[in-house]
Amino acid sequence: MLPSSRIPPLLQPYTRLPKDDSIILLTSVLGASANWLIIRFLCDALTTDFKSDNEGGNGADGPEETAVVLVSWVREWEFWKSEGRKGGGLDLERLMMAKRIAFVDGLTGMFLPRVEGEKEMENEVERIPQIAKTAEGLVRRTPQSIVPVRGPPGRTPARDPAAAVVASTTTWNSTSKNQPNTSTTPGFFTLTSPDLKPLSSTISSAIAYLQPPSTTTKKILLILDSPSILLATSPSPSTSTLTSSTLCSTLLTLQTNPPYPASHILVHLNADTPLLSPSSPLEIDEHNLLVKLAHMSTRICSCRVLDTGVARDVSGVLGVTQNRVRGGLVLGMLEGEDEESTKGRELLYLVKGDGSVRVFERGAGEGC
Amino acid sequence: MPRPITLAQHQRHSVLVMSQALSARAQRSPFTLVLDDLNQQADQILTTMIARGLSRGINVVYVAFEHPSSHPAVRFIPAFGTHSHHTGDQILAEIERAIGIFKESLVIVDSFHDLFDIKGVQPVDFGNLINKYDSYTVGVYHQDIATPVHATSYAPSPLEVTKFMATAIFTCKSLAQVLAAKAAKERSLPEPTFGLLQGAEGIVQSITANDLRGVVIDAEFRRVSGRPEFETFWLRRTFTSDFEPPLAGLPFGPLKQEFVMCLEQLPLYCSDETMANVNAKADEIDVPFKLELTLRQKKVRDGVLLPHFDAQGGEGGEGGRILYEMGEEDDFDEEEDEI
Repeated sequence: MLPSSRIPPLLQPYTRLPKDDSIILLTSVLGASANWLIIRFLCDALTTDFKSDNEGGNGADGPEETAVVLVSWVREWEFWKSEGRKGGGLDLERLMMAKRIAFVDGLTGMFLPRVEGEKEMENEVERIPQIAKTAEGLVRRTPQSIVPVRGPPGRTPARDPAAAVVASTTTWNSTSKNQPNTSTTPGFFTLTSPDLKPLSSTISSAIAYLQPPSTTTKKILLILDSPSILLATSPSPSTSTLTSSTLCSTLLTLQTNPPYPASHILVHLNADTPLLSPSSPLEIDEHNLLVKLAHMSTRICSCRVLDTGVARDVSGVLGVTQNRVRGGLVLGMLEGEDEESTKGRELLYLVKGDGSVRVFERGAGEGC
Repeated sequence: MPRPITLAQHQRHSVLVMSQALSARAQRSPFTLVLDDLNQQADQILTTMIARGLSRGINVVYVAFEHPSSHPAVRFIPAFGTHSHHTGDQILAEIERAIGIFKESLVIVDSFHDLFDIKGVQPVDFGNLINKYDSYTVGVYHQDIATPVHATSYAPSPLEVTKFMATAIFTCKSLAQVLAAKAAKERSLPEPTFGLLQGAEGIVQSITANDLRGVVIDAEFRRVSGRPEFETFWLRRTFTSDFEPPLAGLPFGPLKQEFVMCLEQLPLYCSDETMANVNAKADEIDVPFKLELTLRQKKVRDGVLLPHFDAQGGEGGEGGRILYEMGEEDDFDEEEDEI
């Protein structure tokens, strides 16, 4: 099956990247993960160009080719590879060879290698999968890192939480073992410090790596998976330079970075209420990061669980809202443009065990 | 000033005041504070003010914290990213450089929160700078951004100070949500909440947010006399066709016709039909599934032959037996169902 056909028709207008530079915000909650949606965005970005390659000659220079930089703080490359294969029919390994995708690993290099003075922290992190229950304080420290990757039982039949835990423990071990090999692969970058400078320089070099030496430049889609973990792991929110505000401005810099701007940025954040209720400095910062990015973004896609509880044939609700008619521009002034396409919409989705997704309107589920 | 006598006079007066404020004219409002949230963002107000400012040929300065680009004729001061190492003083100096040589300028700040709370610029210093050059300023403050509580400081938050200093305060609202609130009020129900306040986990922005047709503005003007004026306006989206073709060297010609109006003048807001629609929506039973039938279900239902029709046929049909063809989705249970 062609990867593009993995995107349900109702979803297609929303996974298509806007023409202008833009930031797209994806939010999810604990019970409704948005990984499937990230995979659909990957599908769209990495496959539409095969079509344009075939049609080649009709446009002046044709649509630009899109390349993707995937930055993930809570999930490793193996996970994305298997999800991409299962859900999107994408061979990410091959695409990486073809310089279509680069992966920036924010998970393994950040805490695992032995850096002076961070020994304590490293031990903590390694123990987390086993002792998550007892270590209240540690859980607070890295809230996202132990969030189950998959939905709760019942909602998605094939996704078993017990299996997910086993999987995550094994990957913790496996990544620490094979990390030296993977870091030498071209197209594979590792973040080693939870700070903004290394972050933006690593991403810039990943983007530069993807650009061909010739004059034609690729359109870059930068996907950030859970950057809020940077806020959570920075030593003290009040004194550090890493705040929601500096994080947002780093994104804007990357978007306007002179030689190779990342024209489209997709940010995935968690929108669970406990993370956002502004009371402690960290929660205030996470709340502000979400709100500020939402203000900056052109499109907001949020996954949440069904209001009425668990249903066998619905995994969750996807709400899409369009903030602007045109991309990041405040000042675009158009003659009466079709406004229907930019209306907000709510859809239901069902992620099946084999990774395929059905997206449908309320009342148009399987039983009808 | 005497109060206007009739409603029409009052509306004409309000529209004039609003029009002057939006076009940065006649020192109507040198310091405008725009309060927005995710339910209705201030983009459209900024867009129209920039266009009106440019069409009048005044110097428009845009201090950007959130948007990477703007209209090419605007003096653009990026205050984000690598520029974010600018201190507040440096930003102020840059604004001063940008407006210093002009007689009239309009300074637009797309996030007062960043300028005041994060860069630490004192609102008073900023206001003085604008006053010094007889300029106008418009700043957006996102109401849904949480500011940390500084336990040690007794000083009021920058937002409070800004509200105190502003000569006009615009609060942005989405038309759909204003209509819903109006309907709720007519039925004496509590006003509905939207977006992050809606209470449903995972909703960042409700689907009625950010109406692209235009924006409802709750405006408060503080007159020089100290008397405040309140009015709610409807500002539809601005198009390039609203302006005359530009003269050489100018990005926009003059505005053809003022189109901001009081919300009560908006037919959509007043008509009973809209309210009936909104009420009908509210009357629907609040269930998360559709009670109506789909087309296919309707077709199948129409195809059912009722037994009394069947019995009227020549031979007496099948004698009143229920005639039903099992569909593929029917779950037949031998013990319970009988046909």
